[in-house]
This record gives sequence, structure tokens and C-alpha cells, in this order.
Amino acid sequence: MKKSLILLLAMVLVFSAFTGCGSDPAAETGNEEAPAGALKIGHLSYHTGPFGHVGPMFDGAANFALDFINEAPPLDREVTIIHQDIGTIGEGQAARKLVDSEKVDVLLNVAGEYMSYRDWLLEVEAEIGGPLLPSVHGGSIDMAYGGVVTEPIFRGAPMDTDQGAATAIEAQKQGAKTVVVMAVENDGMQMQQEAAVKASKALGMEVLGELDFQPEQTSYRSVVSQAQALNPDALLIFCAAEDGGTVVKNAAEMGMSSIIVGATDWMFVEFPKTATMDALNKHKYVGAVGFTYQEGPAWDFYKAAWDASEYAELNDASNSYTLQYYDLLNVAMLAIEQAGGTDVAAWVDAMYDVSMGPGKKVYTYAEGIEALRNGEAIDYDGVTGAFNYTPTGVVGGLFGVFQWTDADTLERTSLIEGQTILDVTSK
Amino acid sequence: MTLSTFLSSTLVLGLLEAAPLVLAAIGFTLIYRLNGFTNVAYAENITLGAYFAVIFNSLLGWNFYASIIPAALLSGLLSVVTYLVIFRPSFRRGVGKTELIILSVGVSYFIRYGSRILFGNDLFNFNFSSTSYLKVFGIGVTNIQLICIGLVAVISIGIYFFIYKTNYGEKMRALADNEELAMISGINPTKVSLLIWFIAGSSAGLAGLFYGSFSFVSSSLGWNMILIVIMVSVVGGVGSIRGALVASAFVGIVTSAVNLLSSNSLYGDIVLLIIFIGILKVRKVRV
Repeated sequence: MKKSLILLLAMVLVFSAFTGCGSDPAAETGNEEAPAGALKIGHLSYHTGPFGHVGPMFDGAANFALDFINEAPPLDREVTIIHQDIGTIGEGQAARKLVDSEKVDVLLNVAGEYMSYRDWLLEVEAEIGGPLLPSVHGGSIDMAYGGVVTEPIFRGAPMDTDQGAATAIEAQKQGAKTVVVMAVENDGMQMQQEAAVKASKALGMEVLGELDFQPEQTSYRSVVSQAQALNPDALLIFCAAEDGGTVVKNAAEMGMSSIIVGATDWMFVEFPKTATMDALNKHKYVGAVGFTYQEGPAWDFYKAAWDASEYAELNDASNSYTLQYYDLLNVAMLAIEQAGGTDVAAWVDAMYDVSMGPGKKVYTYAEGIEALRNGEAIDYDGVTGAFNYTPTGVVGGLFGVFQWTDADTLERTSLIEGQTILDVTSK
Repeated sequence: MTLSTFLSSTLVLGLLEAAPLVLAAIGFTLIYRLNGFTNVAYAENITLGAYFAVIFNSLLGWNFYASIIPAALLSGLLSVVTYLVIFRPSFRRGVGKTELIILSVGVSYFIRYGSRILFGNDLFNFNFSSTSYLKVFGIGVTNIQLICIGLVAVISIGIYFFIYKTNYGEKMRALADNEELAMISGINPTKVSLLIWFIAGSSAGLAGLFYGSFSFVSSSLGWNMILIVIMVSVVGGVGSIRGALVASAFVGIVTSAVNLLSSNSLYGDIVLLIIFIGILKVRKVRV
């Protein structure tokens, strides 16, 4: 038995060694030994588990932004990043590792389980005054949290509730009068479901049912059957790309031909691959509402740079997560320059200063750092829009409506302005 | 939802859910009956069966149905290799049941992460030449699903007859029941064991392939299924093909019924677990 176990252990070690030898562009610039004086970012990402396939995209998006930042790093301190997998050990445990063992200056969070380790992190913030907490997917965190010294969360994405409302607006635009709202059971998706229900009612649509389902199932026929029995005009669905693909596919298989509106995750290529174009075409309408880019100088620079970069193979330039990583890291690093260090109090003030002025409009990190070094105040306008924060670190954003025209092509068909969403959510 | 819709939905959806599970449970229960331990690494046979089919279908461009046989053969071969390299040496050293389970968990991790190196994190989908949308008892299904169910039925019946009605099957059952007596009777234990592990591996591979054809193939496909496969095998009576068939169909139908009645699919799993615990309690079964 001992020999078998030793043999097994040896095999695992050999394979572990191989896993570090991939040619993934996202993995090449991360997880290196930090030079003395470097700013360390701990990035909570996915490399294993059900969302393991999106990790390279997240890592690539962060690396892409840092490539530009490191051309003139804040305070002349090179910025390094540790891409920490949360798929196996969980977000909370991974955060502890990065903060306690790696002593990161910045904890970059992309996922939606912040509440599971918030209490611990608040204690750490109170005790050691760090780390800084830019959060790409902070839209799933209650909007009452963040933007202050005791909890320096600053989001890269608008609130998930806005997205929930946006799906309802799109369903009504497509002619729906009755809806069924479905969501997987996690914090962010449930928040979107709740918002979609409220928005649907506010828009005068009848909500025939709210259905919850588990992620990562091979079939959703039962829950689809329930929705089918309610005979709605539209299904509003909040779940990951592959789960959404399976739901849409199952719905087509079961004879439904409906208006279906999903959220940002459906902009991943896994959605049409899982759903199949055959099933998508069986429905009256299938769209995804997601955060999108604002046309302008920031977008022009970013798109050209992304398309020319080694990361372009990971996803399209318009991918919402990539946009948000880019803007959030730009602003967070400009704020470190403005603050003169990683002191939380100074950084929090600087986040508001550099993102929403008053000051010179800048559209790239390079413009921003140059202006700051010339002693000018700046107002960063990014690829996701004006990038202005509320007092709790919530950022506004623009929503786009997208449709898959084939298995590889996602087309933006229309825009939903922030004011339209505000009008609905404030009813 | 009317009563007739509910009943037809429960039956059709339940059998659809159960179809791949039948194959997975048959294979699992064969190994359990022969070697008397819970082979967690069996999960990876399910996953790799699907991956093998992906190689032939999506990567090499074979017809989906043509990719079934080579995928099953390769999956069976993988199972045999696992047996020869990992488990048989352990049996010979008299390794205990608990240690074998731990070993199988290790093997499972090894294969799963090894396959991730080969296939990456991408999700794979099968290419079907054409999909037709049909109705069975008023419930929408596709021609692919119906063909898959048909194939599962044929394969299951084939395995059943092989185990219970053929000379080789008799040898396999004899070996599983009493190895020493079987050897005295002239049965070659290595040859028969290899055959059992091959059939079990092929069944797992086919189960993975059918699961994958209903949705997508990922590196955690088998791992997500293994708990229910173990439960079905235990409740169906370990080693019993008939039991595995009945228990799988039961699981599919009960899960569908509960899911159709509740607004949260989690209740289906909870009800299933409670029923299983109840059955095991009454039957006093230990794994």
C-alpha cells in the first residue's frame, strides 16, 4: 500500500510540474517572483472547478491592463500580480492566503462570494490598514458596502440589480406582457432575479413565476417544464453561460418558442456552444443584456490595443469583464500614484479624485499618469463610460443588448441607457 | 399544470434523466460486486468516455453515432489499465477496503487533472448532423434523445444478458461470489476480472457520452455524477444489474416529479437523499 501511495504521489507531482508549463498567454506574465519594492496584486480568479474555463480570460484581462501600467508604474514601483485559483479552495480561503501569506497590497476580486469572508476582511482592514479592494464583479455586493476607509471596495461593474432591471426592459421591448424569472442559487444571480421581478412589475408586466435552480446540472428539463406550464411570453434567466445554454436548449427541445433574455454571462462563447444555434433559432428571440463599452477615445485606444495583443485570442475586445478589469485597474493604479502609496485612507480619497475629477479628462492610464506627474488633477473616463463612483464605491455603466448571430459572433443590437434603468428601478 | 401533463412529464423527463445513469450504475455495481470497494475513480471513466467521443466527433469530424463504439472501447481500455496498474497490485498486497477507497480518490484526482492538461478548461459539445424536435406523450424531445434512450436500452439489455445468460457471465458472477471456489472450478480470475473492468469502463464511458450529448462535456462531468451513481448502486443492491436499472429509473422519475412540483430543484436532491437514507436504514446496508 505504501508503495502504491508513493507511486501515486510521485505521479501527482510529475503532473503538477507539467501544469506549470502551459502556453496560455494569460498565465505567462503572472505569478512571478515580485521584485523588491513591487506593488503586489492578489487576484482571486478561477483556474479549476466549474468556472475554470473563464480563469484564463480573467487573468488575461488583468495582465493586459498591467502591461500598459508597467510601462510607467505608479510610484515607479513595478506592479506584479498573483493569479490565485479560487475554484477548488473557495474565494474566502484564497483571500486569506493572499493576504496572510503573500502580503498583497491589493486584493482584486472578480467573483461573487465576498460576503463569505467579509467579516474577516474587515478585521484585517481595521488591524493592518489594507489591502486595497478593487472588485471587478462587485455588482453582486450589497450597494451599502464599500467606498470607505474601513471597507475600501470599489467596483468595476455596475450593480447586478441594474442588470436584472435591464433584462426586464429588454423583454418588454420585445413585446412580452408576462414573464417567468429564473435564477441559479448564488448571491449575485438571486439579486438579479429579485431586481428583474421588481422591474417587470414596475413596467406593468405580469410575473407568472419565480423559479430557482442549481448550477452545473446536465439537464434543466424539469424546471423548464414548470416554466412551460406557466406559458409566459418571456423567460428572464440569470445563470452562467453553460447553464443558460442548457436551459435554452432544453426549452427548445421541449417545444418552447419564447422570448428569452439572459445576462452578462451569456456573452461568453460557451453559451451558444452549449445551447446550439439550432435551439437558439427555434426561439422567438434570445438576447443577453450586459455591461458594454462607451464609444470614444478610451474605447478607440483600448480596442486597437486589445485586438493587436496576444490576449485577443481569449475573447472579443467588447467582453464586459475585460472592459471592467481594464478600467478598474487603471483607476486603482492611478489612485495609488495620486495617494503616494497604498495607505487606505489616502487611496480611498484618491479613487474618487482620479475617477470623477474635477480635473483634466484622461482616457488612458498613460495620459493619467503623465498628468498626475505634471501635478494636474485628472478625471478618468474609460471604456465603460464616465466611471464615476457613488459614496459606497458603486460605479455606473452602460448596458448593451447582444445576440449571437452564429456560434462565434456576438452582435450588439441596441443600448439601454443608465437613466432608463434608473427610471424603472426608482418606480 | 394538469395531472396528465404532470404524469407524462414525470415519466418522459424521468426516463431521459435516468438513461445514462443506468449505464453508469451497471458498470459501477459490476466492479463493486467483483472487488467489494467503492471505486471513486470510476467518475473519471464517465468523463473520459465523453472526452473520447469528443475527440472522434468534434475534433476528427466523425458522425456522433460512429464515435460511440471507439469511445466505449477506449473507456473500457482505460478502466483495464487502471485495474492493472493501480488496483490489482493493491489487491495482491491485501490492501484494506478503506485504503482502496482513498487510493481511488487519488486516482480520480490524478486522472481528472491530467485530463485537464490535455483538454484544458474548455467545454466541449457534440456535433449532430441534424436535430428534429418531436413530441412523446405531449412532451417535447429530440430525435437524438430518443436514439440515445434506445441505445441505452439496447446496451443495458445486452449487458444484462451477457452477465446472466452467457457462459462468461456465469464465470464473472462465480468469481465475484467466491474467488477461491471459482479458481478451483477452472476459472481464470485475471481474464475474467479484466473482462469485468472492461465492461464497467465501457458502460461508464457510454454514460458520459450520453450525458455529454444532452448538454456539454467538461472535466467535472463524472465527478458531478459519481455520488448519485454510488447511491443508485447501493440502493439497487450492489452487484445487481436489475437493481441498478430499477433504481436509476426510480431516481429519474422521483427527481423529475419533485422538481416539477417545487420551485427549487434542490428539493429533488433532498427528497432523493431522504428516500435513500430511509431505504438503507430499513435494509441495513453498509458500503
